Amino acid sequence: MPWGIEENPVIIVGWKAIDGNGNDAGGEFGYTPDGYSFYPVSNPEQVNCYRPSPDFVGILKIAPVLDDIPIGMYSGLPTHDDDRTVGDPWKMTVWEFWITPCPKNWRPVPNTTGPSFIAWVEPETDHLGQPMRGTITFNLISSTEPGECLNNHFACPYDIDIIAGVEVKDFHDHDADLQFPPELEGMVVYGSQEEDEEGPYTHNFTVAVTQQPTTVAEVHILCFDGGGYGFLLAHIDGFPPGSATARRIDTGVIGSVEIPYDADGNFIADVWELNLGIYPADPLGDFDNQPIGDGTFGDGLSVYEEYRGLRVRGTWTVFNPWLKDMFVMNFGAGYYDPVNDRWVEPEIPNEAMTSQDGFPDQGMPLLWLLNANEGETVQQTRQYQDDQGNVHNVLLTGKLVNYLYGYAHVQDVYAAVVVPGSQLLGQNSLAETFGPIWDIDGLPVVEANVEAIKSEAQTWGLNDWIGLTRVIGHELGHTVLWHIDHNPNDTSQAFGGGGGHHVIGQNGRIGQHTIECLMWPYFPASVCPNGFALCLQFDPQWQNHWIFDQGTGRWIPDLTAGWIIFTPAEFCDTNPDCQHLWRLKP
Amino acid sequence: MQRWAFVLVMVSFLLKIAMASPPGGFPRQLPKANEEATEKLKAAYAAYVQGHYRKAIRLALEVYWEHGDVEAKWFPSWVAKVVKGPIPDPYNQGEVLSRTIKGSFLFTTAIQSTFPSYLLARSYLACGEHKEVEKWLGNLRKLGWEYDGIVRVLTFPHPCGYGEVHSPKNTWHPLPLRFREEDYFILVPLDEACKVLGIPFQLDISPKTKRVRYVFLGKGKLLPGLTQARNIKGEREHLAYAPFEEDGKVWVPFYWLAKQAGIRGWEVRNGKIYVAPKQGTK
Repeated sequence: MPWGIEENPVIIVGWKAIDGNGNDAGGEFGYTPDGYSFYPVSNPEQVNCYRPSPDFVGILKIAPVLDDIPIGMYSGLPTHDDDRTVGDPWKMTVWEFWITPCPKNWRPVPNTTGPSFIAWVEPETDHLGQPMRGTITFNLISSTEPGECLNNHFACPYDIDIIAGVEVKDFHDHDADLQFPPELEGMVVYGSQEEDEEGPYTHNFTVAVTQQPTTVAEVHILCFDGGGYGFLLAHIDGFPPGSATARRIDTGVIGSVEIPYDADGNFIADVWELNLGIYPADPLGDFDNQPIGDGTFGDGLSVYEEYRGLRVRGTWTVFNPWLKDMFVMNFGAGYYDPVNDRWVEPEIPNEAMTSQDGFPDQGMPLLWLLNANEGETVQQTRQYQDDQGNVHNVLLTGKLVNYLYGYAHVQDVYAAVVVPGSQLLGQNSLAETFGPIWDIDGLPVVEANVEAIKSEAQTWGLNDWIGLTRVIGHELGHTVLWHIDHNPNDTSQAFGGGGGHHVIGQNGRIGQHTIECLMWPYFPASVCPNGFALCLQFDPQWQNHWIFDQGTGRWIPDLTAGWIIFTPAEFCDTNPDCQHLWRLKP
Repeated sequence: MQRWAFVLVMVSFLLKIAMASPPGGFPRQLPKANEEATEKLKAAYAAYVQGHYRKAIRLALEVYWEHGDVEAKWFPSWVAKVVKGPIPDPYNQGEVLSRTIKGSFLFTTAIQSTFPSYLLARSYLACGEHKEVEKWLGNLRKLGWEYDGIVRVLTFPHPCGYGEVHSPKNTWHPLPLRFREEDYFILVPLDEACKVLGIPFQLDISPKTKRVRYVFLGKGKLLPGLTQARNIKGEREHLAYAPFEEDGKVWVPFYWLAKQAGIRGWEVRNGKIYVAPKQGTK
């Protein structure tokens, strides 16, 4: 610089940002009138603001670039023209507190370990050489859906009762669906203190704090619900800049990360929606369209409920929102009897419900067999008329499937309950169905007179298993074809003309059962006279086809060449086919 | 010739009811039998199941003449031995269904019910008296029974088979066998009865409960406290009265064991079980 006698001015001609290693730190100098707006300026004298590079964190040095104006201020004569020089920089620390988001490919699975999350500070040391350590706190805000899925209670792993010397976990249906493990390395995990008859216990572990000041901390979560959702917030206190909330590394937004990854904010993991081609989905949607049935969309379960899932015979199962699901319970299934320490053979084999020779078939809804304890018992009084018009009140007991619902519930879904017995239907029927698979007209209860079915099957030369498969397939058919009245002229049907009952038509054919599929004939399956779907029709020829067998004391069919074989191998056989008649919603 | 006469009688009857058959409906509720009628109907039912058709007919007719078609519903006495807690009212269908669905015992299959016309049609059918069968089937028809149900009355097998045993009673011989009666069923101790009847058997005792969990009789199998069984050929069967264990003894309905041994005719006389000789029965 020139000597002061002939002073010439020195001005700021620029600004320099340097990182901790002396390299250009990038960034941009500019002007801000209010601390929020930023305007890059070319005149360095107007600079009052610096904007670092987006990815820059660390020690930052900002220094003015000075130069003289080589003209004497008084004389106006040229002076020495000195090189530009950089002044001593101001030092500061550009820091950030980060948190990782939920992995995009993760979805909640009940009773499993979920993803990990890391929160950390950069740089580890500030421009004064102080460590940037602080106490990091994670707060988990979780859903509390009832149970762990739609039909199974949440057994709290941290509240254990001793019953008859056996450890039993208590049910905590409204516990947090997402929690921290009670022990995390280097952290103290806090839960809610409660007390029950067994004494105090801690549950709902949703706060985790580092034991020591640190620059990095990691937590992982436990998931207790197939539809669990929540938010994780990381906060740091006591580090040199004070306190801060973490910034997501994926979006750059300061705040919580959602669990699971859920950009559309419907509490359903995006990955599941994307895989099924329904992103972004309406969680209340119920648009299942396959198999098509009569074209009625839906199966009663909302998109969120299909995603959250059910326990199906003990196994957590997620459903496809495009596919229509139907549920069945078999109260005649085989079982282990712990009281007598023995296995009891089934009254009704599960295969009678699940066999492809029965109700499940191409074009029919997906059938899921549930255990009896996988639904909630519900009761409903239903009025029935007998053939003389007398009204009888019958209390029906059924099973609700999606009873542990919370967020995004559309309607109650029932399982078709199959019960062996004859006490509801009397002795003159093989089986009876008391309501459709949906609500309104009575609960879907099927009573099957197993011994009668077996006897009838033997009459027709069929084994027990085939007999049960056909009759129960037929009855399950009623639950989804309830709305079809195949005999509209008949006003005395037990169900008010609404279909769903065995009726005999006026012309010698069976009313609704003239439909030629598994709905009829399930019996007799092997032989039918020409032109009739029903073998026991009232044709004059009929007498030729029955004989009394004195050996057995029974009337039995006398198989003749004039009869045709008619075995309903499919639920829906010929026109009009049941595949295009059934539905799962009213 | 006689056979075809039966056929024509039955067919003409069935055609009559079938052609006039109106649509069916929920079974009409029959009047509830009073205590006396209930006992008679229980006895008649047990007599029919045990092959004593004439006795069944006599008792059922007595009820019919005095009360008409009244219905008796009951839970057999063995149910109280295996079910803890109260037993539902058998006339309360909703309660029976509810207790079945809520619990672990199939009340819906354990319940028994009958009424005179049904029992008479079945008993007369077992005796081969088809004119009487026609008469009582007509009653069922009046009670609103559908065609299918009536055909089943004709086609279902009888637990003790068809026909009466006609061998002279003086050829029958007593069995050295204790017995007891529950709900009019004759029950015998399994081990003693099997020895007398020559049926090999084996008890399977649970090491946990120290109680009999299965009884094996050749290919046959019984489960105390349950009506489901397998006969000596290994075929599934349903017992009208469940065997049960009491003080280490398994009690079994005699009719079933006798059937396994090939005995068609038997009766209780003078405090003893008399059986017909195997030869000469039909």
